[in-house]
Amino acid sequence: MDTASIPLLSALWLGILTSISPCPLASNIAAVSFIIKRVDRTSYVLSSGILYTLGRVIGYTVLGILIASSLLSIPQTSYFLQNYMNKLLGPILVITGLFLLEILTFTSFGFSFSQKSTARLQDMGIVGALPLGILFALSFCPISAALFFGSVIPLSVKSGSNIIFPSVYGIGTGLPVLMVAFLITAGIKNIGSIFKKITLFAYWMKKTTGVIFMLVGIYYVLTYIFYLSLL
Amino acid sequence: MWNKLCTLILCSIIIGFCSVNKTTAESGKIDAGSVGVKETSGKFVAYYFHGNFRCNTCRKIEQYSRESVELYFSEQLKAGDLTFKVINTDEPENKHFVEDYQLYTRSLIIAEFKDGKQVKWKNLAKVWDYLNDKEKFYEYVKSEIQNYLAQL
Repeated sequence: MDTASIPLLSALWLGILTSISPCPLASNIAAVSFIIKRVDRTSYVLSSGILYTLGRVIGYTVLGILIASSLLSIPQTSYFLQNYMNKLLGPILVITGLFLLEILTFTSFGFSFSQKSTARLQDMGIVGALPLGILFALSFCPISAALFFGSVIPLSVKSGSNIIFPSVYGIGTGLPVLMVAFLITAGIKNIGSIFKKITLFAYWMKKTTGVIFMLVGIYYVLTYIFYLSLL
Repeated sequence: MWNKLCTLILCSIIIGFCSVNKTTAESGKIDAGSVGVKETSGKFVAYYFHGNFRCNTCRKIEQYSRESVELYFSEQLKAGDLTFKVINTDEPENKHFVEDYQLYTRSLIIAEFKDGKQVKWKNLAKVWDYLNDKEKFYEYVKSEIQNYLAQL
């Protein structure tokens, strides 16, 4: 693709390319399952999808600004994020999975909430999509590092705009995830309405999200901490 | 029962973290050609840099790079004018390569040396663009290295 003539579209395309590459497949599966966690309420799916993409946009934009202002060097940042963020991601996903499955609860740590507060806390669960997006954006793998540091940042520097290119790239990385999330939501809603059991589907979706988070977390632990070649 | 399961999982993760450095050192020994920039004997060196985490795409870049170098530059390899080195930048003694060549991901670098000292180098960053076209990948590596070797 000619990156000089349509730079913004290039940044968007680079984002899509990052997202559909095999490297971030595991984190994308976790993201989709998180977004469609409340499959019974389309507004929740929409909000968490937007928040997840916004998280990615924030992650890349902040990084782009810090690099452009020479506060961070590209080699050090790229290697630091590739080496440490992925190691951190595994345990975080496993622990989040344990919370989603309610194996771990806040009461296990001595906190107690009223029923009303617990319900409010669960509603706030969608806000978790934002840090999830930031975390996944910063967990670079070799392909995303090549595309972001090798193509998006040079495009950004060349154009003199340090915010717009990383942001558009972030939107690009979120788009395939959003698309898959909405397709699955539509599918489940259709099947759910046929069998009139959407609430039951929603109940199991939350459990499934927990299991997926645990599995993806274990995959990250095995791949990035123990360096086992699983894929 | 759940509490025991949680404790077991969390302990495994902590043990995993603690064993990272040990694992890093062990896995690094497998295929690293740990040669410093100033210690090389050849006139031209094609470096492929990787880390402890080896993705399939990265292995493909290494394979194509090695194949194209061996296919087009077998004479220079035999004569010792060109060397192909695979280096793990996660090994402590190889970390300097990251700054030396401003690396940000798995990369193929061609470098020229005179009297044991490096005079110039280039990151063949487009290897990432030609991943899905083996012939273009080969052609790219061939022409870039040929430009360097033309001075021989």
